[in-house]
Amino acid sequence: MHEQIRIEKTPSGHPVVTCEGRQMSSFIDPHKEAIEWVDHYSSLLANRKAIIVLGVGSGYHIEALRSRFSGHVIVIEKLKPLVEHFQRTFKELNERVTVMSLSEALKRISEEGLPAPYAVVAFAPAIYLFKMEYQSVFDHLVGRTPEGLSHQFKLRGVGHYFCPDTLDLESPAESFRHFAREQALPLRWRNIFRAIGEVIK
Amino acid sequence: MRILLINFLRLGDILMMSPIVNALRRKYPGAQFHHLGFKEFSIAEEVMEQVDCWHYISRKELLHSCRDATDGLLSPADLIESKCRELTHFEFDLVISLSHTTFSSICAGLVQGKRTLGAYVDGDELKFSTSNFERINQHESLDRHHYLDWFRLGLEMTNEPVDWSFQRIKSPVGTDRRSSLTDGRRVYLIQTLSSDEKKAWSMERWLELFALIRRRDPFAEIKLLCAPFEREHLATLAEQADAELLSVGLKEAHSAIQKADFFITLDTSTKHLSNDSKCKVIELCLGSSDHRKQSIYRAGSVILTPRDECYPCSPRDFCPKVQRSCLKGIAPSDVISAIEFSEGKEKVSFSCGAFVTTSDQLWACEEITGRKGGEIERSESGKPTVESHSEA
Repeated sequence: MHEQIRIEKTPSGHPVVTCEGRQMSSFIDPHKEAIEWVDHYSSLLANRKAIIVLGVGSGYHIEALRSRFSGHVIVIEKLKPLVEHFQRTFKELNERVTVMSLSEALKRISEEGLPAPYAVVAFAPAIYLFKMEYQSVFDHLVGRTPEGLSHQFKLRGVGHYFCPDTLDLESPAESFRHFAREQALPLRWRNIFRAIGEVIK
Repeated sequence: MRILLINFLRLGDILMMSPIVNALRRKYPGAQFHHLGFKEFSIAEEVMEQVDCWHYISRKELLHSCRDATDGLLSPADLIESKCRELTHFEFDLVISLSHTTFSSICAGLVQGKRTLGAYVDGDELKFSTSNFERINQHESLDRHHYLDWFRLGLEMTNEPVDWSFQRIKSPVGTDRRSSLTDGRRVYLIQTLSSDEKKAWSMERWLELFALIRRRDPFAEIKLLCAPFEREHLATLAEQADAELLSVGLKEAHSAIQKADFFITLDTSTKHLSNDSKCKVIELCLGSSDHRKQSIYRAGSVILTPRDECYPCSPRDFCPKVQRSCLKGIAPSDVISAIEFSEGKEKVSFSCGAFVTTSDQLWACEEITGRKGGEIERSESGKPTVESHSEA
C-alpha cells in the first residue's frame, strides 16, 4: 500500500480511504454521500452511452453510479493502490466497470474507442492532489482545447482535422457554425453541426 | 412496412398533422408508424394513438450539452448522430419530414430511409420530394394556405378527407352524450392561458366575458381548461368567476372538449383537439397568432381577430407598445356575438375581425359581416400576411 494511503473504517464498518490526510469520502455515511453525488449528475444519465469518472476515491460513488446508469462506466485513476483497493472492495463491479490508469487512459481510449455520446465527470476529492494531470486528460476527453478537439475528431474517425487558430472554443455556437463550414470534415458531420447551429441560433 | 414521421416543431404543430397520419394509415394499412420529435413535446403521445412508436431528441439536453463544460464539445453532435444512426437500423421504407425546418430536413437525410418525402438534405443539397414542397420553400404558396394544407398539398393528399380522429378507431364523437342533453345546462369550456404571452387576453376581459355569459345563460357551466402546472396561476380567476378549474392532461382535455357545448380558446394546442369534436369552437387570435396559417381547421368554427395594423406580428419580435393594442382589439361582447352566431342567430355585429371557417378540401374562411336570409355576407379581409412559417 502507498505510504500516504490509509484505509479506515466508518462506524458501521465500511472501508474508506484517506490519501495524504485527505478523506476520499464521508467517514460517517459514504453511501448517502455517493447517492447525492450521482443525483447531482442525474441529468447526464438519460441519453449517454458512457460516463467517464476521473478519480476512484473510496469507490462508493462508482457503486452508486453503476446502480443508476446502464451504459458503460469508465474510471480513470492515477494511484494504482486505490485501483487495487476498489477492485478488492467492490468485487461485483469488476466486470461492469472499466478501470484505466491515468497515464495510459488516452492511449487506451484511442485504441479501444469510446461509445458516444458520453460525459466526463470529475470526483473532486480524488483528483485534488493531481489536479493538473487530471485536467489535461479532462481537456482531451471533452475536446474544449485545440489538442483535445483534434483528439475527439480522431476518436470519431476524422484523422485529418487540425484546429485553426481562429476558432474560439470558448464560444460553442461559433464553434458549431465553424464546423458546419469546415471542408475537412465529412459531410454527415457538417450537416449535424448545421442542425445544432439551427437549434442554438 | 415502417414509416418515420419527423416533426421538430411544437405540440400544436404535432397535433395539427394528425389528419396526415390518418391519411397515411388509410393508404398504408398495417404499416408501423414511428415519430421523431423534441422530447419536450412528448405529451402528444397521450392523444396521438395513430403513432406506434415515439423517438425523441431532447432540445433542452442538446442546448445544455452545448454549453456544459462536463460534456464534450462534440457531445451535442453525438446526441443527434447516435439517434439518427439508431433510427437508420429500423430500415424505414418511408421517411416524411412534417416540419419544414432546416433541423428536420437534415435529420430526414441522416436517417437514410428507402424513400424520403418533404424537404430533406441529401449530401449538401436540399431536395424536395415534390414540386409543391419546392414552391413552399420559395414562399410561393405561403400566403394562400393553412400550415396543414402546405403538407397536404406537398404530399399530394388534397383528395383525401381531412380526418381529425385522434384515436386509431374513429372516436364516437357524434354519439357523445353532452351535458346539455343530460341536464339542460350548457358547458362553456374555456382555455384562458397561452404559452405565448403575446397571444394572451387580459384576466379582466375574461372575467367580463364570464359575467356576460352568465347574464345570457344563468345556468351556464363555465369550466376553465388548463394544464396541471397552470392550476395555481388560474385558481384566483376560477374562484372569482365561480368556474370549475379543469387542470388535466391532453387526453382528459380531449374528452372534456368532446363533452362541451362551446370551446373558447386562444391559439393553443388544444384547439387542434377540438377539430375532433362536435362542440362549437370560438378562437381568439391575438399577437402573432395568424388565423390564416394556424387557426382551427374544422368548418363552422368562429375566429376573432383584432383589426390593429400590426396584427399578426412576428413571433420573434417583442411588442414595442406599452400595452399591446391587440389586447383591446377583441371585446368580450365580440365573443358573445360569436356564440350567438354559432347558435344560428341572424343578426350579429362585431367590433373586431370575425371569420367563420368554411374548410372543405382545403382550409378556408369567410369574414362575417352579418347575415342576410341565412347566408353569410362575405367580405375580403385586407390584413397583411406573414411570409414564412412564423414559429418554425
